[in-house]
Amino acid sequence: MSEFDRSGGPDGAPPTNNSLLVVAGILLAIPVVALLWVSSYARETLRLWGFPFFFWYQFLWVFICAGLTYAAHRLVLVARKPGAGTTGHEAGGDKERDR
Amino acid sequence: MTPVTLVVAPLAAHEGINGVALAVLILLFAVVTVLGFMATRFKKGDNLESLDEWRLGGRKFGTWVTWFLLGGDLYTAYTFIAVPAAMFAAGSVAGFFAVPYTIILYPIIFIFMARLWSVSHRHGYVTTADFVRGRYDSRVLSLAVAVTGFVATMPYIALQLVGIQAVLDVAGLGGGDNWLAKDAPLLIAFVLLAAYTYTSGLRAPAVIAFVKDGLIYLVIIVAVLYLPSTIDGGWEGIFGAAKEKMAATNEATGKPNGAFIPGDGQMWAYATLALGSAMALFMYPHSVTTTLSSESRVTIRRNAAILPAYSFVLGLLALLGWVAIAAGTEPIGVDGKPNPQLVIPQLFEDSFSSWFAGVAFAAVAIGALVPAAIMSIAAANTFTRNIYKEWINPHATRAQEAKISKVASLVVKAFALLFVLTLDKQNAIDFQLLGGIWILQTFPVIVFSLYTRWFHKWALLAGWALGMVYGTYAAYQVASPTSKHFGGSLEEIPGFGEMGYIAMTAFALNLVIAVVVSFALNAAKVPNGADETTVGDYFADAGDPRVEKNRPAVEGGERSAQRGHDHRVGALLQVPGTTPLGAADLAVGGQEEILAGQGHLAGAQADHVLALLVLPVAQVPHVGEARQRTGREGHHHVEPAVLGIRIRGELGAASDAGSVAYRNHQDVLVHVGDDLAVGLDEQPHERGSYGGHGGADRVAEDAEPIGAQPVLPPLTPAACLRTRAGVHAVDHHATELVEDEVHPAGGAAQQDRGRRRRIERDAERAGEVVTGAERDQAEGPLGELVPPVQCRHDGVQAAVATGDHDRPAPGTVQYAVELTRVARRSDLDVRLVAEHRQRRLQSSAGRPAGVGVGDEQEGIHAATLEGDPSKSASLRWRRRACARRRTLRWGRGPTAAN
Repeated sequence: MSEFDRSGGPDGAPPTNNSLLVVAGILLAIPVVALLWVSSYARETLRLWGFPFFFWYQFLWVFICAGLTYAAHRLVLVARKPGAGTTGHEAGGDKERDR
Repeated sequence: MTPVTLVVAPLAAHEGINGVALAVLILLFAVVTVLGFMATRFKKGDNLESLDEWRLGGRKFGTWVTWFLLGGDLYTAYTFIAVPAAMFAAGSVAGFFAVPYTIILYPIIFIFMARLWSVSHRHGYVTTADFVRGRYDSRVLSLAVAVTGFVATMPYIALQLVGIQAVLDVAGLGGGDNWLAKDAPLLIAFVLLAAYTYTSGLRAPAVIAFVKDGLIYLVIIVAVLYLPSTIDGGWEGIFGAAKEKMAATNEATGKPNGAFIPGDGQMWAYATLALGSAMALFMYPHSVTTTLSSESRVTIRRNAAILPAYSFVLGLLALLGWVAIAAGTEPIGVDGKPNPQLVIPQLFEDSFSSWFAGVAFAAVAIGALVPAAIMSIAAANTFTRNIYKEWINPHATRAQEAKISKVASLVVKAFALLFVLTLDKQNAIDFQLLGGIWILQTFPVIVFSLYTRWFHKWALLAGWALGMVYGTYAAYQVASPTSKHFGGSLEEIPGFGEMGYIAMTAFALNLVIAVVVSFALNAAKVPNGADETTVGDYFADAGDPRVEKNRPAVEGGERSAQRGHDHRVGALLQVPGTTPLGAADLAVGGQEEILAGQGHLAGAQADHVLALLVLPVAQVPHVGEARQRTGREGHHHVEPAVLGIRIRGELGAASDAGSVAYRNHQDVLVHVGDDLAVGLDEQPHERGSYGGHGGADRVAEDAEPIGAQPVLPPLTPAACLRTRAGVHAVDHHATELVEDEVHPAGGAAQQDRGRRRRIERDAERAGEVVTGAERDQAEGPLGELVPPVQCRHDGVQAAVATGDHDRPAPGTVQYAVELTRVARRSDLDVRLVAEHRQRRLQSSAGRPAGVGVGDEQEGIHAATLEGDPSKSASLRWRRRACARRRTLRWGRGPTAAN
């Protein structure tokens, strides 16, 4: 470990809003739990356009998961500003890099 | 061929070649081949020969390219061919789990991939084994990870070739008794794949991935909209037919064919398959390669949010397996045997007009090529870095390394080809399952280690070993109707009674062992290896100067896998505010010996280290970014002035200066380039509040105390490269480079001949300071600049570390800057560079005559830049021209290091 390892410094973790991170973690956990809980959706009834529930429900989670992940992404950007001593980009600054 | 023909005589479909479809397939294949070869120009970096360029595309792929590339990882022949085939033959538990798998994948990678990206960016890791090596300083654990990744990838590549073969089969190729005629089409596809991967590296799949995904989406959308309408009852009918088939009894096993919807006793199988696959996917070297090739941490996470689009399409693809049931598709190969793997191509051929069937075939075939290319590159990286260089030839030069990498990528593919040609196709799929089981066993080592070092390295190794053995054994025991062993990936979870994914059972075992043994070893206080990473490393993002400073380690990442000293350099490279453009890879290091290789390798190779001896001349008020300044009024930072440049040779062979030099000359691209110039230039610019001096003034300016006492006496002799002599040896561009780019580094020194002479004298004097340098110094063209740089080490470090403006305590040290990756030009905003350079040029143009060596070129450049309205274009041109400068020299022998 480096001599410069000190919390909050360039080699420590950046200042973090932990409660926001927890919220982000919960958002990320939701789809995992929902989809691993197979018995909650392993059934046919409630068909949608001919699709049994089992199938369209999982397709639906594609979108829910994308939304939740994106929300978590934004939250994490807010929760953890780039560390001191960095030229770090602002949350939106990464747009420039999307060439 | 029409569906009618097929229904009447299914075998007839295979007797002839589908001419139109085949023509379209070949045409599209030709297009992507051309694209693959042209890909070298895509987001081109300075140096295509650089390994980093080849394998990571220069690490500058943005969100969308990364998205396409990751799609390439996900959308493999496995998803086109194997998943629908599994749906077709065995139902939803075997096939549709791929949907939840690819959904929960993203929350999982969201959580840990950003950390992996950051620490890899910071330390130049290219593979997960690199990371493990750095985290635990354990070659053995690193080898375990590397070998697992390498071995698990090979059947995966083979599976891609199986996919291509399936398409060719249905298109009517590959028939005949002669093995050559039978396998020729696949061989041709293979050779093309190998050739463009070899030449274009990761760029080839990146470019082709666009075409591939476009074709895939087109085909899927058409298939999903059109096919159900051809079936009685639409989707209702499809699900009805599937349900019927799944419920029917399989003659071979006496059990139902499969599950329509997971029933009791299958839930766990479904869930563990999804979770295990999701956790495993990003352990594969190719997924890591793709992720690391993105340009920032944010890219990863943003991608995690947009990638699920693939899952949706994947689900539709899976359902096509059931569409085929309803459509009565008979997947029978050219050899006349039923083969479920052919179901999707056969469905396309039966249902689409010939030309569109050709498009669909091309989509599948190209879709298999892209991941095959990525995988072979990744496997080759792993082999080269973590096996070849770590264990076989630690002294490999960069050229050797690059060559081995490329050759390894060929070997891997050839091996996969052999797999496909000699073994039954079913074996490829079985081995792929086995690969999934294996690769998951590296999860604890990699992911847990991203968060904690509580786990002991030996415990992780033990867990890994047991997981591997158990997983292999359990998979071996699984029988299926077609094979006695390796017949599937499900088994009864021991002591639980439910069926589950073998990989997860093995993982659980792995985890238990790792925890128990770690507990024991930690209690016994067994050393757990040195950690070269710091907490902050896991949060680093692009643009973070700590990252940028350590970028040399990226290119020199080979070194970091090899040498323990790199991190020391990295750890000392803490000069805030010196890299405002985010591109100046100035890494200010500590004492010489740090660069020279403390660490494992006594005869360390430092062949790519360009050490810039930098002197923090003065402390100046820090007026960097507003954000940084906020709340930190009055901060001062040490600003380094470049006093000289030295490039180390291969220390291990330094006694053989000539050959070292020659080799390095060939191999080492040291860009003493814009980045350096820009980084240094930027300082006066940022300090505009009190100066407004142009770049060329900078060193001199620094020498004057500004707001603080200089650490060193003003105008401590700066040294610059002994330009001509050294550079000519390299190439003309290099000459320009040094004159023109290093110039600002030499800054004050180059302002007049007199001073320049002084510099040279100083350079000579350097030999006194840097012992051993002279002795090993090459002759003639290799003249080295080894300036003495002395400053008050402690003070500087302190100032750097704390950002305070206390007067540093005295001390003497040499500061080194590693520059290896300095001139990654394309990292720079071109316009910015132009402006900077122009400013610099103008200011130097305003200077009195007799400016010195560099002026000729400067003049030319000034003209170029100022006279041409499209100066960024011309600059870009110039950059390309300069892209190949290589300078190389070496500093001193290994003895000096110790």
